[in-house]
Amino acid sequence: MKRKKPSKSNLSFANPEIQQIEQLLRFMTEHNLEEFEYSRGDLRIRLRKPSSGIVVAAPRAVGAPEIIVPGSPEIPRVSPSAAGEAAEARSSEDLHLVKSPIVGTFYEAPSPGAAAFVKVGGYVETGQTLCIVEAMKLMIEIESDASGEIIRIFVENGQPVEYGQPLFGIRPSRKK
Amino acid sequence: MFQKILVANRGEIALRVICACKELGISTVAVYSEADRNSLHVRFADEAVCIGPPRSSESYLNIPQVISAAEITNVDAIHPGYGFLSENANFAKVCEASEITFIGPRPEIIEMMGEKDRARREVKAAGLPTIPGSEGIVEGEEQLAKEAASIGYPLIL
Repeated sequence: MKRKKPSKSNLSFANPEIQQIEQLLRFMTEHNLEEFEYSRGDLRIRLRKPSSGIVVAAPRAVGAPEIIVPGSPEIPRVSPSAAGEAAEARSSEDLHLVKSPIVGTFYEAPSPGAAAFVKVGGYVETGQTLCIVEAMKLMIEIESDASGEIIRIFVENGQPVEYGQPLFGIRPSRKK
Repeated sequence: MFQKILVANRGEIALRVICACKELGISTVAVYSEADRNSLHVRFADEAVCIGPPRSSESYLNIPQVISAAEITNVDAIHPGYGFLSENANFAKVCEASEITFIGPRPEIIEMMGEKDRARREVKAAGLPTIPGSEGIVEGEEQLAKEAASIGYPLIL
């Protein structure tokens, strides 16, 4: 398979971080790596190929929540695998995203050690509890606003989430 | 000294606070509404948290969202900038209860200064100069005319 040269627009980034990430992505392709994690001091970079979930997460501080890397929407485009990219885009487009209505901490289960509310592959009905987001010691149950199959869970248990952050990807069921 | 603070404001106000923090070696967390995702204050801060939709009553003025953002980013203090929550005594109280330092006056001072009538009395009692004005709140047009005559124009109502 021929590897696409990075397009001009990618090179226009003066941001050294973006360039580093690009290099890492190339490195990952060359060595056929699915996932890559790197840390030095308080810089932590974690990259995962589209096929295995989240595309990119590059928090600058360990244990910090979702960080907005300037220009981060561009990052998926620097992925050398054009085919994988297209598949990723298609699958995300079809999915109904359940987003966090509040800022807080995501919990997949009603209490520590209990079974998760939902799992990937499970079916949910509209109004069914999907998870809990804790904000200021209040446990707020997030209900599904669609019926269908859970295809993706975008966040991990105990992870901080911000307003509007996608939590679940649901493939809506066709039947009424 | 604080290690990390959250700036509960946007635009130029937030930028000024963030720049001051950079000079002092303090990490910063920006908060933003969906409308300000590409704002400079979001880019310049070390971390950024989206706290709500574009309407400021649901984002920058939404106390639970701001406090939650402070909790998940583990900051020591919140700088409200000016405007927004900076003169909100309730917000200062919630910060106190959440064990996050509010960078600004104590809640009771904000309350005191928020009421112009009380603020004038307290400041006078403390022996500070104030501009000429009525003793307390003016009741009715008649008293107003009398006060105006004794103070002279122009005057602020």
